[in-house]
Formats: sequence, C-alpha cells, structure tokens
Amino acid sequence: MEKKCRVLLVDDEEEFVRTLAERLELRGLMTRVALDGIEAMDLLDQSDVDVVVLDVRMPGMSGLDVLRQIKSIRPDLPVILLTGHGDTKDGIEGMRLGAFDYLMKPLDIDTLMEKIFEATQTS
Amino acid sequence: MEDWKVRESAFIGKLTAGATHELRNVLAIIGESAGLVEDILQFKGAYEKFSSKFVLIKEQISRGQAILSALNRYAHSTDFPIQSLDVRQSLQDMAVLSQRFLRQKNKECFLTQVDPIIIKTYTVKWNMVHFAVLMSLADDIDATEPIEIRCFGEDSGVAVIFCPNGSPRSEYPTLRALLEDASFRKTMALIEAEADIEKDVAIRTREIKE
Repeated sequence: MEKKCRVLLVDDEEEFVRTLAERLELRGLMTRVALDGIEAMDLLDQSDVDVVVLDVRMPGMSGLDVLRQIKSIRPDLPVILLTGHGDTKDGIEGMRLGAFDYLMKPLDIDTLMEKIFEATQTS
Repeated sequence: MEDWKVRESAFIGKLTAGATHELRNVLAIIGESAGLVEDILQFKGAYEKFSSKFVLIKEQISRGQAILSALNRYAHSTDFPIQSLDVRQSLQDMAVLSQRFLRQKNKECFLTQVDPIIIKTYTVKWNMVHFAVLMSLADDIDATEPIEIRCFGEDSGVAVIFCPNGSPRSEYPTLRALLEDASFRKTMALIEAEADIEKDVAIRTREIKE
C-alpha cells in the first residue's frame, strides 16, 4: 500500500487551516493541524511528518521563528511558507532560512498540491 | 512614545493595516470553504450545475484580495513620514484603489511601461499627489477615454506620465486648478515634485535626501 504523504499545517486561522486540511485529505494526503508555533513543534516531536506548510504571520512565535526551530532539529524537512499577497519580503527571508518555497495567499489548491509533491520528491 | 499614538495619519494607517489584514483572512476562509464545497460536489459528480457560481466566487475573492492588499500597503505607507517607496507597486495599488472612483466617472486607467524603481520620499504625500492628479485628469477628459500610466527612472528620481488616449489636450481646467492650489503646491514642493502638462501630464519627483 502506497504510503500517504503526511503534512503538518501551521496557521493561527483555525477555520482556514482546518478547511484546507479537509481539502488536502480529499486529495489523499494525511494532515495534522497546529494553530501556533508551540503546538507545531510539539506535533513534530510526537509524529512523523513529510512536509510542513507554515503561515508566516502568526501571533506570538512567528512563522520565521518556527522555521528556524524546525531547521535546527530537522534540517531536511521541507517547509513551504504561506505569505500574504504582497508580503514577498517574508517569503524571501524564509528561503534564505532554508524554506523549500513560498506561496501567496489566497492559495490555489492545485499549486499547493504540486509544491507538496515536489517537496517530498526532493527530501 | 509610539508614533501612531500621536500622529494622526499613523493612527489611521495602523487601524487600516490591521483591518485589511483581518479582512484578507476572512476572504481566505471564504475561499477555502467555497473550495471545499466545490471539491465535494466534484467528487459527487454534481459540480456542473454550480460551476459558474464557483468561478464567480473565486473572481470576487481575488478582486477583494487585490483591493485589500493595495489598501494594506497604503496603510503601511504611514508607518514613517519618509520611507523607501516601491514606485511600481504604488502605482499598481493606485490603479486598483482608483477603480471605483474612475468607474463613477466612466473612466479607467491602465499601466503600461512601469520600471521597477525605489525612491526615498514622503510616501503618503507622494501617493496623494499622484492620486489627485489622476482624479483631476479623469474629470478633464472625455468619457470612456482610458488613461495610460507610464513610469520610468530619471536622474535621482522618477517620472510618472499620465497619457489620456487620443489627442493631447491643451486645456485641463480641473488639473490646472489643482496644480495652482496653494496647499497642493506646498505638498509638491515637499516631495520635490514638478508637473508638466503641456503635452501629456508628467509628474517628476526627485528622491528626498534626509
């Protein structure tokens, strides 16, 4: 049986991220959801994840802080950043910190699926 | 003391920046929810009946996101009086934010050549000057003439050219009144801008040296 890709979604907007999780699961992925950086790091500790999709702008621990922490413990884990439309600076900084790529919100689900697939191929 | 607590434009900017960010999230949630409904209908083979509505939802979400993104950037232009301004982005945002006002005058504008230029200036005043010129020009030209906007770098500054399509006009009563207004001239002087309306309408701005 083909192993399903395991995606950790990190975003403080609960309605957005849980709906996104449902859409990805309809497309055959396994998802876990974290609403902040601390929860994300806890989930990474407890479970295996193949790729992280991470919102840059979060209260408290920012997406870039989470990215730094992930890279310090799992340097090979691909992280795809989600940035607001026009916030390319965060995306570019994220790439410098080792993010796999960044996508602008509003998301196109097919583009996200392609990016997740690319990320799991290279890791 | 935080600037927004004592400077009015910074206060409005802060509130607007926060609200536009929140509204963008609202649109993102609506977009994902509509996408999930769309997915479920597609999997159940009942999508065709509603496909045009989903297209409309996505178009309106994109439209809302574009407006809010532009307004969010304008709001952040009040963060500091003098900042680096991405001229191309600013003109693109001006085109988005002016749509409603131009539509009310049966006009539209579009950007053609817009070089990527960054200048240091009073960003709110720079945006206000160019917005005011665009609106005044829209009052002075025939209905349905689209206004073409071009922008390119010049020595230590930038030139923004507003070209009404069709023949160049020699009379621009509203625009002339604007350029002769004492307050407006003061703002133009502060951002080191000059206007030339003999042929097309050109606003040339020099970079502010702090």
